[in-house]
Amino acid sequence: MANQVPKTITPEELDIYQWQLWVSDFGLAGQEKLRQSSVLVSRLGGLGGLVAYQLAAAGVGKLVLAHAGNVKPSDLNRQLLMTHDWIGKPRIESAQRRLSELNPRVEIVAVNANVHDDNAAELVSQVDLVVDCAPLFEERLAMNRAAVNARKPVVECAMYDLEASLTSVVPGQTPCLACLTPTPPTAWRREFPVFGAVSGTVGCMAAMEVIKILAGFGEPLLGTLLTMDLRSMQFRRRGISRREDCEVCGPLWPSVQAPDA
Amino acid sequence: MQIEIEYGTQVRVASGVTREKIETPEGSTAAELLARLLTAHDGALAPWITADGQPRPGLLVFINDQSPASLQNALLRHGDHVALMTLVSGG
Ligand SMILES: [Zn+2]
Repeated sequence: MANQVPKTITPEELDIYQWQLWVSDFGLAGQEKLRQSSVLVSRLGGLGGLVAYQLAAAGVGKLVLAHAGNVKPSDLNRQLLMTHDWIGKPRIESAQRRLSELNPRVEIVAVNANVHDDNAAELVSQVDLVVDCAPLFEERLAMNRAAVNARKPVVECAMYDLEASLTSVVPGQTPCLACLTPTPPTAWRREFPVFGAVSGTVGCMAAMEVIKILAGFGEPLLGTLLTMDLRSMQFRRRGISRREDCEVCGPLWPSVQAPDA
Repeated sequence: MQIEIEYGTQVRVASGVTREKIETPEGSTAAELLARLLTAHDGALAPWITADGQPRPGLLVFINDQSPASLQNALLRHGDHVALMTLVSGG
């Protein structure tokens, strides 16, 4: 790799990111890619808050953050961007404040709304990559549809109890969320048991997926669902398949021609 | 033949066990195994498995850590590891 410093990286940034620049297959070229990248994080709870925190620390250029509602006491066991003094005030403001304190160089677009069918495409249009950390499948499927339509990669991360899962979707190359469940699972309930240490674990791993995809190194979880059971500390990589009749990503795949009769 | 079953957290609440070994006839398919599990657990797995052994939305079935294209066509072999995981969503 050239020793020349890309002109957009300042000496101050070299100081700040010095220890990650030592990652040999990342280096200055990777840092420059991060700096020029933009990421949408859908929801900033125990999962998305940690994703945004790590991406801000690593020097991603722009974060578009979407999360509605005010800070509640029951957020504070896991939502590390929320603070006691902000109870009753907008979560998105607390998150923006904390991230700006951590890294004032990151441009933050704070959206005081959750993702839904009507705003997903517009939010996705502002970024290079999406991280889906939403707790509702309706929200996740709306985000998946918008991202696949825009051909943007999505890092899908989720947890329940001491179990967590992670996969990266590249439209047209991997299965999408709708391949795994075209409709919200009927048995799913909004309330989920959660330790911050579980949501934070998968959040940090999701941030690493984002960094790898944006900077172009390592091996992201493409077509692979990493499942983690933190009760037994069993981690498994499981192959996932696309659904040929997937309404969302199906049109991106070359159609199989029926043989001539 | 014997199949090893692994249950994800949400399914485990219904099955009551994390892992178990199940005897199935030679030549069983994954769909037949799921129907057998539904009966073996007195219908407790009905939120995730239909009576004909199909997964309901949100259930992910892996055979030796791979999701088969079709459960009806997936022939099981002695010693296979079948995981019943749910797609989770939270944080
Ligand atoms: Zn799909």
